[in-house]
Amino acid sequence: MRKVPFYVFVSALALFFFAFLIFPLFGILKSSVWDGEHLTFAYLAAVFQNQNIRASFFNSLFIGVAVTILTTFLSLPLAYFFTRTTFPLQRLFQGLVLLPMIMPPFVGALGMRYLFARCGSVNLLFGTDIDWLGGGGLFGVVLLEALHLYPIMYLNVTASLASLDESLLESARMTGAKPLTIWRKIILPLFLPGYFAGAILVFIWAFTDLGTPLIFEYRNCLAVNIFDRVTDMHSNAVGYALVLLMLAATCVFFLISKTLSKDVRVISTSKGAQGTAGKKLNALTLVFVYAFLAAVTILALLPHFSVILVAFSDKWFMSILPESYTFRHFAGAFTHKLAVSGIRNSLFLSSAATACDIVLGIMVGYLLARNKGWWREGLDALIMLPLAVPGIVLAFSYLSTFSGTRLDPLKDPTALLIICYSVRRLPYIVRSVYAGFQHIGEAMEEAGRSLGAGFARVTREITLPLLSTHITAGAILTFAFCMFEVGATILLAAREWDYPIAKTIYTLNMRLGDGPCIASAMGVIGMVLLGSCLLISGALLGKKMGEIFRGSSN
Amino acid sequence: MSLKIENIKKSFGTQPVLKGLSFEVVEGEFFFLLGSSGCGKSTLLRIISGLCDPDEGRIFFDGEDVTKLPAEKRGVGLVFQNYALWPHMTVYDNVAFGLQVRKLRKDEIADKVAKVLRDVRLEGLEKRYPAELSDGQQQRVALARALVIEPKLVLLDEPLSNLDANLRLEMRSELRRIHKELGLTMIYVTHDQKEALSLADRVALLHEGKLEQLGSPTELYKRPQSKFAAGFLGETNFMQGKALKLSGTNWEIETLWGTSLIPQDQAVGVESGKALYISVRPEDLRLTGEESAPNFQAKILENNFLGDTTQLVLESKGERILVETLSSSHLKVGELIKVWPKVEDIMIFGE
Repeated sequence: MRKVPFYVFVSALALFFFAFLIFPLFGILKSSVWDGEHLTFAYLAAVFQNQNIRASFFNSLFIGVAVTILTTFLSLPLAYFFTRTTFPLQRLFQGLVLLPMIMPPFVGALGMRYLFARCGSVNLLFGTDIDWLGGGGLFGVVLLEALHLYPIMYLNVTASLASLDESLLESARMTGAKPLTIWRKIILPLFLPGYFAGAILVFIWAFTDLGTPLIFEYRNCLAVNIFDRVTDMHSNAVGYALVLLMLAATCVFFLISKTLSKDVRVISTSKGAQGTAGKKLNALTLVFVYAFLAAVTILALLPHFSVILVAFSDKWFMSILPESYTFRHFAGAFTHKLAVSGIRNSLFLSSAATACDIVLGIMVGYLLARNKGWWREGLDALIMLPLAVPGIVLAFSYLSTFSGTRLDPLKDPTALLIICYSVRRLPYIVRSVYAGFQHIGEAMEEAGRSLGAGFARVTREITLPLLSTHITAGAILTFAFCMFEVGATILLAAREWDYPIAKTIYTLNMRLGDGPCIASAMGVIGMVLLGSCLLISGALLGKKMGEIFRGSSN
Repeated sequence: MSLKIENIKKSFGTQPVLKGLSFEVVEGEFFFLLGSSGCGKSTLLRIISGLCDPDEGRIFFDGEDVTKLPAEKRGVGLVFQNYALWPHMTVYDNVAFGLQVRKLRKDEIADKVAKVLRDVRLEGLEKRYPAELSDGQQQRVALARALVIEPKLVLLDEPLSNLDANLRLEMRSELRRIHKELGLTMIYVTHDQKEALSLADRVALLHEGKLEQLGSPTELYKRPQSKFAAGFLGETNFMQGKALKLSGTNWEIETLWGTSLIPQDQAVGVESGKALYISVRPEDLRLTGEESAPNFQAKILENNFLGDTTQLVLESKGERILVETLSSSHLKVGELIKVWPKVEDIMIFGE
């Protein structure tokens, strides 16, 4: 890249990130420790002294840890079965276990209430009175998030296991090492970095999720606490301290996982050595494997099933299944004023954010893959930072920074929503594009230059066409996630006609009458949309799908 | 086109890769950069192509300083080690690319592509994609793509290293033919001394970022100017010896076969009274000769049948010596034999 456009671009990028990431977050820090005239720790002290807040912090921590552990236990056997063994119907199950990704957990929560509430279907069926959602909804939150997030863990663990070439283990065995030694010295060191990279994404997601607790009306967690304080954010600085607490926690955990997942470059082994073709299973093991897979699949699809049921239910009150069924709510989803504008808004915002991310993603991917300057690591860290910044934190910081400016979200949240979505999802598209650049190799571009083509021509005719798969896949994923971004959406969109889908579902759900059913119908529509998006990008990316959901770009 | 390299230096981080290289390549020459991996030869090629900037030094094409000229303006053909064929373009599009960049008319492009594909014997494969070609065909497309822009200088970066042995031999003669027919200046990077010896007009031997020796293949083989050069090109025996004194134009040296006179132009860095290495190639040791000619006795340790020749491993006064000979089936391991060195093909190097 020529020097001048290079510096112009890097400066523009730095400016963008400064304005929409660093500066707003710094504002949070400032407002938490500055009362306008003096440095003060009163707000932070208030946060730590408040028993409710302390409890909500530990509840959120519990949710994060419990979800991480649950997803680990769900995905480890899955990854092992799929990478190390072969059995009939393997591919079908491989697809099925990824299905939970197509529905955000807060949508699943809409339906799961009908099944598992005190007077829900399950208790009615068995004549019991068990509080399945436990602890005021806490268990429900954990369950729903675990069921939604285990595919991310699974993709990471699978990638990690797949990189553990059989020849590496064989050569260890040839030295006479005992199985335990091989586990300790070879398998774990190679496997854990990938695991931690996935675990941190799952943890942060669960730790900071706002949608699911809101739908389950579980208010005693950090995200909901922050949400409750948005209304008086300008008069009460405790909200800022709370946001700072959440941000600090996610950053600390992010750094820990970064350290733990560092520095394993897996060298791809020679052509002949990929002898990881799985073991054939004997009948007994096969039965066990099928039982496990069936259990996971049924459990994972329960939320989907329940939402579909609610969306089609005509009357459902104190009965195991709906008394009658109807298409009415889908008609509602396409005609109800709020629903229609919600879908339209989300389509527009997500498309705009995706377009923005495509441009930024290609440029950043190029810088990371094709330059070796000292600033490279810094840029990488900056781009990946949004992974550690929860949507709700970013949105809160925007609210405080841009109120009263031309970007004031109360007047029109469009610009800030687009920017917020872009910043939050940039890591995913950058990772996809970066993988593409690595894949095509620099020689492809150099060959073009050596034949006399300039930077623009090489980019247009060689680089972009070769990258198109990775760009498309990354873009589709970005789009899909923007459509169901919850935290930022609920905070930033204040007027009904500005509501994107997530907030429409939340609002409709609270209305009496058909509200929850129309919300579920919208959830089903979203599910179909998200499902198609993931299907397409999965087909484009093939096995590399996992790379996009990893915690480090290398 | 002639090329001049002037004091080129390049480091990656704190690691110096090229430590001040200078040489010239004359027009129409088939010039080789030879060296083991990590010696800086590929870096030098990239610097000549313009894909990589030198830290210091200058590069001249036909006397014109091109050091600051970007790669796309140098008009140099470059063949990559892994070919770097664009997988989304057909053979035709790959080859035509450089001509499209130069904004040639469509019919002109078609003519030139057809001609170059004929030159590299790939007619009829225009519509194939790189993935549908064999290794050897991909290699030819890469060559055609570099040649079609009619460059005055073609750079080849280990172009045959991904091919199997038979194909490599075939492509070697193809390259020789193409070089001869087109009369191009070609610079060829390789670590394979056989490629260099069989194809090159001249070879620059690089070692640790420095020019070890520059000359024709025969010069390099027969008159290596360092112990490294003698060892790198072909096989050789390094025997211990000692320089006694310089008498006239000859060195009097102590060898396995007694005192011997070696002309000064076969000696490098030799000093009176100091130990030295005597480099004798396996094929320069004979098993027959006149009794009066210099010879020594050795014991046969191994007798290795290699098909066309036989390799003997001998031992004499603690030295392990390789001999290559045509027929030796009658020789038994453990037997004592006499060996006659060809003194006129010996090189001696000071320690």
